Amino acid sequence: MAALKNNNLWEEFLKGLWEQNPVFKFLLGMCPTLAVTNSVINGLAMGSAVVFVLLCSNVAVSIIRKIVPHQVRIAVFVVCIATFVTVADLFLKAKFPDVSKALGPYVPLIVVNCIILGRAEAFASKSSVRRSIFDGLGMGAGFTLALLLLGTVREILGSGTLLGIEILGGYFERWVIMVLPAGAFLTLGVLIGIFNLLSKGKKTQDSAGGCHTV
Amino acid sequence: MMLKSLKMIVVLTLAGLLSGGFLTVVYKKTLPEIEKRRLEALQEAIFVVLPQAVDYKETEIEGENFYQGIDKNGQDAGIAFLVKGPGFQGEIKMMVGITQDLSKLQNIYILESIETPGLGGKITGDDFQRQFKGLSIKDRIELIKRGRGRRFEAAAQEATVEAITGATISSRAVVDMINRKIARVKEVLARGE
Repeated sequence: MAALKNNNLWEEFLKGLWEQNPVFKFLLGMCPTLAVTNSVINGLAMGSAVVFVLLCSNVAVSIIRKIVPHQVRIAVFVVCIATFVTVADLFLKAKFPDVSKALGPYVPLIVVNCIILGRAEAFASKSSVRRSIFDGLGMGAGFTLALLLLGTVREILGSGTLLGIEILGGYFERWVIMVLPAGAFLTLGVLIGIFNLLSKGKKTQDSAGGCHTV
Repeated sequence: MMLKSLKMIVVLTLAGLLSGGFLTVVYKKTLPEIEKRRLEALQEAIFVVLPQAVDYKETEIEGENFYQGIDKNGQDAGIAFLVKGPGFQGEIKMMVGITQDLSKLQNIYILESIETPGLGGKITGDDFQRQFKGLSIKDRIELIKRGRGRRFEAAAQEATVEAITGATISSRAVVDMINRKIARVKEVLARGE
């Protein structure tokens, strides 16, 4: 992962949205990204759950970072993450049973979401609590953004609806493949391609700008 | 060296204990509401498959759970029971309601399924499920496939159900498990009388 620059807190948050977007740049958290984006509401629910877990685990890991021996750090991190995921799962089952049913087995699978363990290891275990909070929020937001993009494309093309509301008339033949795993891969591939194209454009701009500064 | 190992053991044990303790608290706090949701889902299903019922009584005969429907006059309103079985992708769980004289299906309600979205997933839709309303269960229910260009005609008396196009396996699974369960239900209730 990129070396920790000395960002201010706002930059710490923003980097998760674009420059270091966990889904489009790092290709992390692919499993839920592909599995629960057949509708926008599912993507939103998963994104929210991940933001919650990421925030809690980043804070917890950052707090205990000085007292956890190096050799057992992964085990301790995973225990932390699993605890928060279980809390999120129980919360959903109690307060939002429909969402819980829709997300199904993918909520417990957040435990092995690479984004969370990745940020714990690469960032929270080496940074202050304040920074970790902003990093967690940014990465979670970036992840949710990716899910929303995918979910929107897949739901509109695959079901003709957005957030469950019909927006395409009967004339449009639904692309059922968009609701299936194959459609997820296709959409994700296209989105990553677009992301890379836009990023490359930005990069060449920056290097051109660099000539002006001495 | 000894101190290092000790520290590792202590930290890991503490992590485990704290996690376990915290989760126990959260679990206890959410348990009543989760139980309530589960019961609500079950009750909703019972009242869908027994349209006349306003209340029900749960009984168990030979290991099978039955929900006896009671209508607003206190009379019997039919019998409901859970049906489970393997579908195309995973287990399908549904509530089935039959008339008190065991002659007809009142309705079915798919509770859980993870069939292919857009294909087998259609078994949870109204179009498929309403075919079961009023179906005769004197004999087995038959699954038929619609030929191209043939208009489907309601066949409640003949006890046929039309399969979902492109989802024969899911459709057949539903019909098969209903047939199996009804045969067992008839058997158990006959002995019970």
